[in-house]
Amino acid sequence: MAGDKFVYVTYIRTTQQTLFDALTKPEFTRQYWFGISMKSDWTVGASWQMNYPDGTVTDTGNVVEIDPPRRLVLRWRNAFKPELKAEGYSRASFTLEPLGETVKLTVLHEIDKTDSQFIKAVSNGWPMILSSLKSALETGKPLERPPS
Amino acid sequence: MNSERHVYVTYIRTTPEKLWHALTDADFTMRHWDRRHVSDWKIGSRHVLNAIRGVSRHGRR
Repeated sequence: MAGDKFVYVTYIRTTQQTLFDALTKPEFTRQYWFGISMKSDWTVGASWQMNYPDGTVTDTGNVVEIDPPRRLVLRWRNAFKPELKAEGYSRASFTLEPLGETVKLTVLHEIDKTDSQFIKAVSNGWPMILSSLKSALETGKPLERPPS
Repeated sequence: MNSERHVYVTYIRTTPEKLWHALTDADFTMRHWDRRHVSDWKIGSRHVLNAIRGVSRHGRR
């Protein structure tokens, strides 16, 4: 299948449940995701959306698979940049595996399109967001958004 | 071109000087890498990753 993808692996000193909550509860996502709230009722088929603090919807989709606190798969589409929205739905999977005192988090974001601008954008975004998540869980302090 | 590569990006709350030290100071690399990363850090110089005697390749027990 022709497509494009981004894979990121990081090890975070935390528990599976804490990490799962950090990915799915808006009061947590706001802290490390530079103000973005991730909202859903987190059942299979349910819609989800991400908002900036001013209410702008940035991305939307549906829950494809959810197995707390081990795995989450989301149908995912950008909502506010026309060139990214035009590429349609992508799929993001989050896999959480306990490993000693850490949890191995694997994020796989893929789309059925080659040379995807959307994948290029998330390839730039995920390392910053996931580094901030790791810092927040390990030190209690997320990263500040760097000047762009 | 036939080749392979790995790219990884991470953001660390630190300074460039501290991060450089963490990558190039042999005592510091023992802490996060379980290896002494030894070189005089000049262009053309050899660099060596040493596991200390009695320490397994896969980490200290």
